[in-house]
Amino acid sequence: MRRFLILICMLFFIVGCGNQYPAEKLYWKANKFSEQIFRNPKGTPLSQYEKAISRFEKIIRKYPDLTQAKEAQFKIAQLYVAREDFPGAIKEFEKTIRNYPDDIMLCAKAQFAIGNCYQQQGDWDKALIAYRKVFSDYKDTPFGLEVPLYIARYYERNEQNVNARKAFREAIKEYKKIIKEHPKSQGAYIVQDYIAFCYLSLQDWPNAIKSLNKLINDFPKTPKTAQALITMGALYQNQLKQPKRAISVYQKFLKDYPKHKLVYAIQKRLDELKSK
Amino acid sequence: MSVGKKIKTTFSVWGESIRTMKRYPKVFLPFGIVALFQVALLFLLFWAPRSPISVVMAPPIRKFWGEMYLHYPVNFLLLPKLFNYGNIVLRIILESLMAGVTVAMVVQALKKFSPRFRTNCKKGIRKYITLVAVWVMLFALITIVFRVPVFLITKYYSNYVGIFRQANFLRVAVLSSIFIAIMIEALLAYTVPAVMIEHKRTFKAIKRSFSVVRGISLETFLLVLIPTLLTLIPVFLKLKLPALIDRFFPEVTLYVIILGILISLFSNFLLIISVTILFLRKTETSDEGASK
Repeated sequence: MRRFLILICMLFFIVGCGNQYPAEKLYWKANKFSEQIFRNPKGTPLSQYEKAISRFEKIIRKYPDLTQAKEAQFKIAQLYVAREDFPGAIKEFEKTIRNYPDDIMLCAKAQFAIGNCYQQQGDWDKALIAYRKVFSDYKDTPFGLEVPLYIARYYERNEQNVNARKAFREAIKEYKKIIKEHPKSQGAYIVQDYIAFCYLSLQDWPNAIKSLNKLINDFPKTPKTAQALITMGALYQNQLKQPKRAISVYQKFLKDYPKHKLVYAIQKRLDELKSK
Repeated sequence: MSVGKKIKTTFSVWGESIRTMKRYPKVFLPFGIVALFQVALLFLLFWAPRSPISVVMAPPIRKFWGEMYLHYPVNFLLLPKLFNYGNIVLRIILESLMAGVTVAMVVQALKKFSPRFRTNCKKGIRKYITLVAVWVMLFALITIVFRVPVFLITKYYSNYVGIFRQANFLRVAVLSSIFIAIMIEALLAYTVPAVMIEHKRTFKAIKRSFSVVRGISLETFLLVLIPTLLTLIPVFLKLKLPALIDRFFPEVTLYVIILGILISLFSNFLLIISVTILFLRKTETSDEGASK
């Protein structure tokens, strides 16, 4: 009976030790605690921030090699952002990149967040350097690919039209380079759509049509292709005033995507064009 | 007999059940053992994502439900389902036997003998196949009653009614299913006593149960109804589990399942002891009637 009880205790001890489960539990609880802070960052006292940070630090100390440690490090940085301590946040994001260089998605996110911190402090020059670093170092992540477009849209939002046009053209150049290096890849699929968007922002309708066509031909029957057809149809209809071409594009859309949620709206447009 | 007298009989049976429990707490032992096994099953499943138990449990969970159910806190969403499946097997293998053992122990207690677990266990094992057959039949009938109406409404009727009317139909279907399930349980309430006391085989025990219920249908219905309604409390809580987990913490799932185990321990025990007492009373009065 004594041996059986010792065996049971050892089993419980082994069960309690090691593996990812205890780390997941600790992370979930820390995350739940920090959610309250993120819901109301300005109304949260500093002591709550300290408590949340120490919970995540405990995970990093106890489980340094697990995924939860990386996520905890990132969360600490986000808590600094929430309390608008941007220098502290930048330090923590840099720590994330330094400590976990193999996780390129996390590093891209962290580097992008550094750019965000500088931007929120009003230091666009340093933000631009940080954003460009995301693109140069982490081009094969969604964050990296979006950076040229993000920069151009920043200028557009702030009505710096000259800088915006320059940035859109630079973005197109970079994206075409990516397509040349990796044609028919997932990255090419994403940036082809971005190229079209850039031309639309520059109001360069012929080139916009060309890039949408390329997207449709190179990546048929994908989610972005459906939207590309709609955009092309609208360009022919409203900007280029070529109703026959608009009709043929809308007909192609209805043929290729008969169950799309916008079928009814496109059918209506088609009927209006045909009646004119 | 008037309705009032029948209700009085029901209360007197419950009174005698409680007195028997107090005088001979040993009669709790069979269902207590079932509850212990259920708790052990629950903790085995609770520790499924962790080593060393994950060595055995993780591959089937990964294959049938996916990797995410091996991680905190999503494992708690699967836990009630896994526990249900394990509990069905446990109840077939163990609870069917323990129900028979309880009947035999209650008979001894009512005869003012000290109920013996081991002796009655041997009696139960001799009737094991019959007890399992009865349990499986009852489980199959109740599952059909619960699943078929809801399935038919969602598959065939939903095309003809809107979402809100379908919800109302489902509510009516579920309530009717509960009522029909209680009726079926009442009709089969005396099969285990018939097996253990009168040594009947499966179908003869079912026939005997029907004939006993004929004379005491209201009392039987009440004896089955109250414990069954108690078991609906954890069922209702399980439906609200995602909200409870969100409001409190994921481990609340464990508390809900343990509450279910405790309630089913008490309600199953109360049901078995009360139907046994009523069965003995009924057979005694019919014996006296026959001898007169």
